[in-house]
Amino acid sequence: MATRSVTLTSRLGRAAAATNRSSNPPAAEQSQQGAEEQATEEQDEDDDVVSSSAAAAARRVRDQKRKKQEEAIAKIKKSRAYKKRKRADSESDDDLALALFNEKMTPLPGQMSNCEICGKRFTVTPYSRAGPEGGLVCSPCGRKIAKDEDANKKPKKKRGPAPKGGAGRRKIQSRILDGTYDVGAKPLITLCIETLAKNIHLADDLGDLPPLIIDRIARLLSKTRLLDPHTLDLFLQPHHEDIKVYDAAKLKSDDFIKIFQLVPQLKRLKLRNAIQFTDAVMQYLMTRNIALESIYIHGANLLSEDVWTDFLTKKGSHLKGLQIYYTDRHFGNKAVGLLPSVCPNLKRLKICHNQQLSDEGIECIAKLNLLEHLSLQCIKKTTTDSYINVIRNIGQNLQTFSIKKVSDVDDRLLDVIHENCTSLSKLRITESEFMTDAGFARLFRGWENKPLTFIDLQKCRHVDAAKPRVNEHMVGLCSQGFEALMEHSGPGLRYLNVHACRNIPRETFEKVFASDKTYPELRHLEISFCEEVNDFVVGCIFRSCPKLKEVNVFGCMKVKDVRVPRGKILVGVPNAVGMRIEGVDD
Amino acid sequence: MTSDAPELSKYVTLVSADGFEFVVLREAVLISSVIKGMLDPKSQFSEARTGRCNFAEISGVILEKVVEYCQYWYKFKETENVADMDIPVELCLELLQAADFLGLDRKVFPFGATANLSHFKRP
Amino acid sequence: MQPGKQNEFDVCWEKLREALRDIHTQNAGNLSFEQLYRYSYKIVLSKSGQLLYDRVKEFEETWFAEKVMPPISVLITKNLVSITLDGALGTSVVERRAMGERFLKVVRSSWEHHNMCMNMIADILMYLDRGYGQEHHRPSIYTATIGLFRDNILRGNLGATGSIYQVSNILNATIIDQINMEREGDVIDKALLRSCISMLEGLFETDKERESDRLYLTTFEPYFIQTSHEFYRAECERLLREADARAWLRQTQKRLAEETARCQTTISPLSERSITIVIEEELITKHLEEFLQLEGSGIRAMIDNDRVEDLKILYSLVSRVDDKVPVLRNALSVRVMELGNEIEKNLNNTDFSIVQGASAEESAADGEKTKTKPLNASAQLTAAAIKWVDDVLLLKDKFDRLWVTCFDRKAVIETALTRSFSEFINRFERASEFVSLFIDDNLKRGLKGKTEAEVDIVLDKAITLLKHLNAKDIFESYYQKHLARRLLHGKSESQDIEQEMISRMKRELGNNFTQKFEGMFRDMNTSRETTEQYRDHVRGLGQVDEKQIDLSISVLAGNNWPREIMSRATGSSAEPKVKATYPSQIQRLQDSFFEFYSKNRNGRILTWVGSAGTADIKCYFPKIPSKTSGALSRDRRYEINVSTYGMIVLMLFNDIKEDEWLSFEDIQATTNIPQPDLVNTLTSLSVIKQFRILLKKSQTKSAAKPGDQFTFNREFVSKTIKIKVPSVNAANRVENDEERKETDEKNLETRKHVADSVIVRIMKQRKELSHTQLVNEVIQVLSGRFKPEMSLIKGQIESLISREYIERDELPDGSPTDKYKYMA
Repeated sequence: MATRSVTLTSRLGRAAAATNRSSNPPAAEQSQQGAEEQATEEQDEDDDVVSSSAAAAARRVRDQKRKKQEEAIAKIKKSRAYKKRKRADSESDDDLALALFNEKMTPLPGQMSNCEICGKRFTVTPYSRAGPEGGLVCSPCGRKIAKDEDANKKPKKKRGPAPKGGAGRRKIQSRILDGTYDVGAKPLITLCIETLAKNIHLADDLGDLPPLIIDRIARLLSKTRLLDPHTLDLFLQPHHEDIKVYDAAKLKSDDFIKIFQLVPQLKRLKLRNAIQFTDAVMQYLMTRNIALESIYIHGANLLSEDVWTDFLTKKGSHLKGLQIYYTDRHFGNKAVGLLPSVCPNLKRLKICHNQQLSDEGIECIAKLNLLEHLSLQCIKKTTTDSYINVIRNIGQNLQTFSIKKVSDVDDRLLDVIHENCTSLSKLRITESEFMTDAGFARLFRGWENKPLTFIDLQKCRHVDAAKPRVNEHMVGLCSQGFEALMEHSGPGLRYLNVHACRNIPRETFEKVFASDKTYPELRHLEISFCEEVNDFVVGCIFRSCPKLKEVNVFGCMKVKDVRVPRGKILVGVPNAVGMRIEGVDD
Repeated sequence: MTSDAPELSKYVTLVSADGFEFVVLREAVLISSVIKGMLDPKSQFSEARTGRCNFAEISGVILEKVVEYCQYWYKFKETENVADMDIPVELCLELLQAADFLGLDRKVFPFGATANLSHFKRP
Repeated sequence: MQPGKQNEFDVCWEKLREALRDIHTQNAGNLSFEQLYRYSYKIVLSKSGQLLYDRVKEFEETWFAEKVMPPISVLITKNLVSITLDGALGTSVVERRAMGERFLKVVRSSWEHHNMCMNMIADILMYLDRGYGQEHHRPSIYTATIGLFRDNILRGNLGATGSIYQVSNILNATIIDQINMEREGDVIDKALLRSCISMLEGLFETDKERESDRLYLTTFEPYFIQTSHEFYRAECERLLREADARAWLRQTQKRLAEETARCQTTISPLSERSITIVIEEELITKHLEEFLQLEGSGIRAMIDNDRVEDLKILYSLVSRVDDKVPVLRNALSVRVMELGNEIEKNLNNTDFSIVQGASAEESAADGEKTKTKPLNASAQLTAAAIKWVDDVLLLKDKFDRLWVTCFDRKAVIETALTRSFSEFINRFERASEFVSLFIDDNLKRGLKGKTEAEVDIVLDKAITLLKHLNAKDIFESYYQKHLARRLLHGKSESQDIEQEMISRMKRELGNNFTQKFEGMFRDMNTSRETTEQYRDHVRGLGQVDEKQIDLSISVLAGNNWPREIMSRATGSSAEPKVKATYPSQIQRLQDSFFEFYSKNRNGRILTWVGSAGTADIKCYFPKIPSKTSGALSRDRRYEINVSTYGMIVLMLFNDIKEDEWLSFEDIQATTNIPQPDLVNTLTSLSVIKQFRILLKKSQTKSAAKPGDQFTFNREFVSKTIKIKVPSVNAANRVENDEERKETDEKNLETRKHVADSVIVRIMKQRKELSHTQLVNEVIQVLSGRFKPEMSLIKGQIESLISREYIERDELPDGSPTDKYKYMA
């Protein structure tokens, strides 16, 4: 039963392997040899043809020179330097003597000499280079020699401390911070995907790879900015139901339209940096019969509000998930207001970094009865009341509730959550400046909700530039709140972020992570900038959380020297290696 | 359970669809969770007994590369900063598919399968 | 799905299903992993993963019902149910164990087989998990199917047997039954239990597989803890009935070790903490008091018999439960009080008139008559004091030892012990006096011949006792008295040790306390110098008179010295100040000295204290003509040391004729010596045989009294030339009841004055205070000296109000408030 063709090699095309073994035979040698031969030939010729006095004179000069040389050499052989060198080296007597002779005979700077290579007469300088035979060369020839040397040396030099697998020292440091630096070879799948990505321009078709692999390829391409209209085609198969484009910056509106053309069965669409997703695209989409179940669109700033409302009205009925990021100006209260009526089946709503949305729109969310996951990050200031309204109405079904940077929201919201939410598993409230410790404590104490798996309460603390350390009214997460939180969600918590909740005192940390407490599921803990955390607390944390993989303690100045157990990672303590300590202690 | 073989053979044989045989170090190929499952002595599958694994849909060329990878991985498994193995572009897609089939997306051994039954295997 | 696809799926599935069957029947030898794996791979790639997942689950469920359950159900007979769950009796232990083991073995083998099959199946379906499971957030095939075991077997009901329970109940009950058997001493198959427990550890309540949801923790452990509670409750009651605290201690220790070991080998380390708590509750905390109160083996017996091992174990057990060990502390405090009171009782019952132990030896060594002398009242009191102090110190040593060896030097215990010691010491009225006597005795003779280290120890002990005393001011007055006597009579063993004692007291109790004592020392030192200077002065005056009387003077500054010495000199406040009449030579001497003394010091008054000084007199007893042999036939010249008053009296006899008698009244009229002193003096000179320099008419052994007559005893003989007439001072050293009452009153007066000054000082500083505040502050300030009674403070406040130092604050309408105001 063959469902795919066996050989795919033909599709990629065989790229001819360039044989670039250096094919320059030692030309220099040849020429040199030629020169030598020539010389001797010349000599012979001389001997044969000319026996004139000139020749004889020349011969005489040469003989004299030779004689002098031999005398000098004989003298050298008697000299001390020679004897010394002889002991050191194992050269033959004559060679050694000749070498010494040559050294002695080398003209000093200021004197004139003949260039060894081109024969020109030139003044010797301290910078005069030596030629291949030992004699000095003039500056032009010297420069040429230098260039040749460099050309030979450079490749060698490059290959030396060369990036291994593409990582120089900076790369290593970067990987340390990312947490991807460790031992062993990469998995084969990763290697293949990387190779593929590098050579994506050669690929015509990705074949029948399983969706997970395709997704990984898509991610990698996006990361390396290789996703463009051409490579996009690889991912557009008619039977696909999911399209995930992680970086659509290079795509034009036509490309988006192409997606809809080629993938009629599309159900789930994810586009990041979808800058060119214009009204035209949306309008095209509306004409098609595609029943999208979930849309994730990021950065589509060219879409106008009208088109949004239009789209939602026409195509909203199937929509189960809507996630919109960074559409600053055009998706506002009007659009959100429409949602309850046109998208009744909406289960997942996420609006992130939006400049238009305000209380008015949020109020409308309260009518989305089936909503299970809600995430909001609004630039405009929002008040507690609208959120309260939402929770009161649909809090029961909510599994995820996340509101970021809500500085004005206060305890009343916490109380309403306590009363209404029973199915939450992920909660995020960040940067609230009014929520108090007592409020948090009230939320978690005796809450009917089962233990949460994900909690993010970063930056819920008291902010006052004039008196930063005074917290009279116990604003933010402090001792009671934190204790109640861990008491309630400890058994199920997997991810906890209390970054910058600096009002939590040390005693609370010690109490919460005491030796008799365990948090069996906690895998990731962020307690950066909680200034009361010290070495002892971190040690307790490691002991209390068996499945813990990573702890982040950036800005916890009292953490200086902690023993990190094997297999765990501590980030944020500067040491000689970097900011990340991988545990080796047993 | 079948025979408790006192000692597992150091080498195993992988056979491609087109009949090429590769003899490899057992330890090296265990990086593939699928091959590991095949050769697990506690299971009673034929591969475990004979020490031969037949891959009916992987060609010799690809299987050869897989074996090469396994040996490369085994050689460098304790080294830092390992240089990437070269993957010829023309084999890339097929190799990717085979790698997916063989579960070669880990760096370390899959969860320890020990003789003690009280530790349950997790795939 | 399109027909073509469906076909493909069915073909693959068929193959897989056969393979599953083969695996379960252990026939997998001919199967090729690769083939099977490839089938599932293909299915997933063609997007039928969901279908495959469901079909596999279905298959397993059916398999369970048809093939796996039956062998287990068979075993679940009515018998088993009734025995394990309904607690039916009637089977022997051996039978029960055998039945239980059989059941467990079947469960175990079924589990192990299932587990292995599921592992294999999960392996070939690996791709399903990777490709489908992760994407759709489904639990892995392994998790889903392993749960089947839980759902179908463990939660399977026993409907067939008419019971309402599930298999897991029986499983738990059987395991616990086996454990209890082991607790009783039987040998069981630990490995079997361990495997079953591992199974429970590895299974979770739901497919979410949360740590806290392990079946072990949710179904087994609670039941285990509950039954353990019952077991140990029963054991504790049995131990209580046996009424042997030692056995109880050791058994508890043994059980703790046993259960910890069991957690490692048989059940699970997860329960170690919980089961320890059970034992702590049932065996230790519940009946702790009762065990401690047991006769013959309880805390009393342990303490009294120094059963160090028992106490150590006891301590280690109770400190597990409560770090502050309240019950133990209490028991120790009670015992300390009891033993302390016994010491007091003992004291009252001992007859000190007979010389006790060490003092007997000493008096023998002194070379006096070896016949044990009956002690006079003062010596008796000293002996009593020493005994009391020794006993208290012994008791303290004992408890200190226990504290170090058994109680790990625990701070709270130390506090409790100290408090109890303080309590019973202070309840004993004569504590202050006795401590001072103890020190007094030691400084006079007890420390003779001891090494420096031994001296240190004794001083330390004294200071320790001193610290316990509440009524430090009473101690101070006693010490002052005793010290004065020592200094004036030169009875102190070593000046260095005296100083050492003072400096230690200063360190512990502050400067104020020792001011007077230091003053006394200074006076003595100054006086020595003065004496020297006077002698020089006299010599410088010219002729040395042979008859010149050598004067050693001690000038006592009035404040430092005990009142009684002072008042004796000046007379009690009621009587007019009467000065004794001194013989003329003495008077001349006194004048001369006074002249010398006032040369550089103006305006001082010197009053001679006749009761405190001594005189060396040369006495000449002429030979008695009638005697021809023996001592009396010779002239006798003796140097006799008597008190100053004694000297005055004896000098009188110089001026009368031989054989003349002087009456008591005569002597009194001439000398003007106060009556009590005169009685003492005359008694000392006339009663005791060795010192009968005077003869007393009505020659009785009783003390001199008015009406008696006295004359020079010509027939006085002494073995030694230098004689020291001991001062008879039963009245001095020991207070009789009357005098004690007087002392107490005086003490009270002093205390009132002290309280007054403290109250005034506080009010002056604070201007305004409420009643409670004032009282608290006063108590605090005074605590260094004594513990004031509330009535005392209240009384003084009232008195100060009437004396207009302070006034009570009033509301505008005139009604009094709680506050006091200072009146300037």
